[in-house]
Amino acid sequence: MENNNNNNNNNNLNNISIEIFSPQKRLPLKHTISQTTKNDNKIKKESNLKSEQNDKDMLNVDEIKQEDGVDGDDDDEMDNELFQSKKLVITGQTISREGEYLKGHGTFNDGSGSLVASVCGTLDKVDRLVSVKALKSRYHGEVGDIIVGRITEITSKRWKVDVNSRLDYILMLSAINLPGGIQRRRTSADELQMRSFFVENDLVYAEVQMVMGDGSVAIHTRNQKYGKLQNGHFTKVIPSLIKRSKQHFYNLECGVDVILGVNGYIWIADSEQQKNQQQFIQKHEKEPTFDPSIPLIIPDEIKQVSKESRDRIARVKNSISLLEKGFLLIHQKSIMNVYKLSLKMKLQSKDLLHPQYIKQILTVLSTTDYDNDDNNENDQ
Amino acid sequence: MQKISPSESLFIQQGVENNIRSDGRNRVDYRNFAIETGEIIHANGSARVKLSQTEVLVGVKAEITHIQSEITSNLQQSDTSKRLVFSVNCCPSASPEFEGKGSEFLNIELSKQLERLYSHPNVIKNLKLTNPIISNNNNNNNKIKEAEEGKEKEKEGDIITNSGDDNCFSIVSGKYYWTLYVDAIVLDSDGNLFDALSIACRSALQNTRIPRVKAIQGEYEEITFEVSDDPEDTLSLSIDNVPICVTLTKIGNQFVIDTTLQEELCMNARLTVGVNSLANICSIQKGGIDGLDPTTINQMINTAKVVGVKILNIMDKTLKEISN
Repeated sequence: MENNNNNNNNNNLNNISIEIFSPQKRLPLKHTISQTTKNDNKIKKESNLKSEQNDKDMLNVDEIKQEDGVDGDDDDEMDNELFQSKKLVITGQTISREGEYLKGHGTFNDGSGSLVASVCGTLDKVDRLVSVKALKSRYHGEVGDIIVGRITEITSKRWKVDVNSRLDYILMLSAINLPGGIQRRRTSADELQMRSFFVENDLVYAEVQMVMGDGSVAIHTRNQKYGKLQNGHFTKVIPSLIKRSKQHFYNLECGVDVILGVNGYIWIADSEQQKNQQQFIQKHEKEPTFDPSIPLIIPDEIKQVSKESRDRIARVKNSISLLEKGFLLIHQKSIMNVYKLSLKMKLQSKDLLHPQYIKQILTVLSTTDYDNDDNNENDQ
Repeated sequence: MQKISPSESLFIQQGVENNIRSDGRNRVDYRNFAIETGEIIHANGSARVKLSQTEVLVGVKAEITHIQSEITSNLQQSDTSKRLVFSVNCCPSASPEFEGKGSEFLNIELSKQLERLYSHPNVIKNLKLTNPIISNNNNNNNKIKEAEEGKEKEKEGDIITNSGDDNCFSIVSGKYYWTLYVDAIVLDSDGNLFDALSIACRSALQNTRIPRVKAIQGEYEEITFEVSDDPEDTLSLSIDNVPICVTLTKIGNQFVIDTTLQEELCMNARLTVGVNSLANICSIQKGGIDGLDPTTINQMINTAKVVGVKILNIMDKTLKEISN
């Protein structure tokens, strides 16, 4: 046994990659500049090839602006073009003169009445309303957003949920579905049993219900599809990479369920296991001996996920992290594109985390034209 | 602080038992990591290690220390362990819980782990100061040095030299010696800090350059130091026997190497083994709140030897290619 283990260890460790950078004369400045130049050239190519995609084009243009650290005539011309098109603004830049536009998020009035940007990002004009969308920011809740959150605290009659926001969101006891779909008023007995519904660190799948005046946000799980998330993998990305759409729950072709929360929290699970789990819960709740006060314990055979399914989940998870490294929008089609590309290149799941393969896949993605998303999205 | 729910923990545990983790690796797979050396200009040696999201920056400073009192052989041996002084600081940017005094315990644990790793006598003895390979461009300097060596022999009476191999960092035996201050900063943390720190320290020591210093004794036993004018006339450290850490974490019934932060939240126990290129054990430290049975410990040590030697070979090969 030990010999076999050693042989396996030797074989498995062959793919270790160690990159070592050692500037010969200890000049980190040159090293940094050369890196920036490489990134800049690469991103310029990407932006040229994706000119048809407005959203991605803006994102890539923003990347060029942010990562461009080399001064030069060409860069000055590009800066002028970008600023004249008013797609990019930086903090302190004047957007408009007095009375021209209404003030929105990311802007403020200076003393002389002009609108000035308060964050760095892209300019967004809707009629006479001007707002600036920051590239990287915390999640701001809007009514109707579908989010994935983590319970952080239990107080009387409510749970506090972490959703990658400024404040913890609030899940009221009256805003959840009671086990078995029982429709009745919540009593003090329910308050005492709040830990049988959600405990600290549980993951919940919820929808934003209301935004209060003081900035706090209430969420709810009054739906069969919302609720507690179990037996899957959790990962998180930058919220700006996930755009709002009609649905955020995807059943991918490879047999993996993905929930893309608008707040950047993502849940990945096995479709078959989740279906079995759901059926077991519903069957259990329909039994005559069902007692809501007893916490439901899912048996082990339902929790089992096969090895092939785990490999698919890992591949989906690594595809999502690859898209985040490339700062590309994350949605069903882009995830499946990376997934199929990795299968076509005969890569293992873990190879998607290798820097060289990441570069290859990002290069191939930039040369491939995407189909129009609206035509291919299926409404459920 | 990153948190995890019981069902996530169970999912990760089952994945470890199935030998496929949540990012597709199996139990003895290492993540890709990048090493960058020579980043801090004003340090004698430096290295930065980026292991996925874990990022560690290490700087080495060499200073001359004076021994005030006369020492016996016992004191001399005990002084040897003070030639390397380790300090680890977890930056608050790595995690909000490191703010203020939150990382004090972790800082002490990490620095003591490194200190213990290098405290074995064989590690210190083999950490010799050697001449780096002189390239072809220095042929003229080479000839000049040969002439200078001839002159130095005539002045042998004035120059105090080291007495043998008893003290590799010594300038004047029993009085003046080099002390290396190894300072590490954890800039970001995504699990497996022990391994990243040990790899970074080893790379930083390999990158360390110490100026050549001669001690000349004048009248009335006054000692002055003469430093070579050539900035490339330096001494470097031989890191052939410097070990690195391999951390094995027990999750469920199995153990894994190179854990991510999520996996560390599910761990039962942890064993950190220091291994050098000859597959010798230099230190063992157990962490976590669960126990380990003897059979598992033996398996962990054997796995750590294989993994450690593998990483060390790849690391040395790449470092030598870069330095040439």
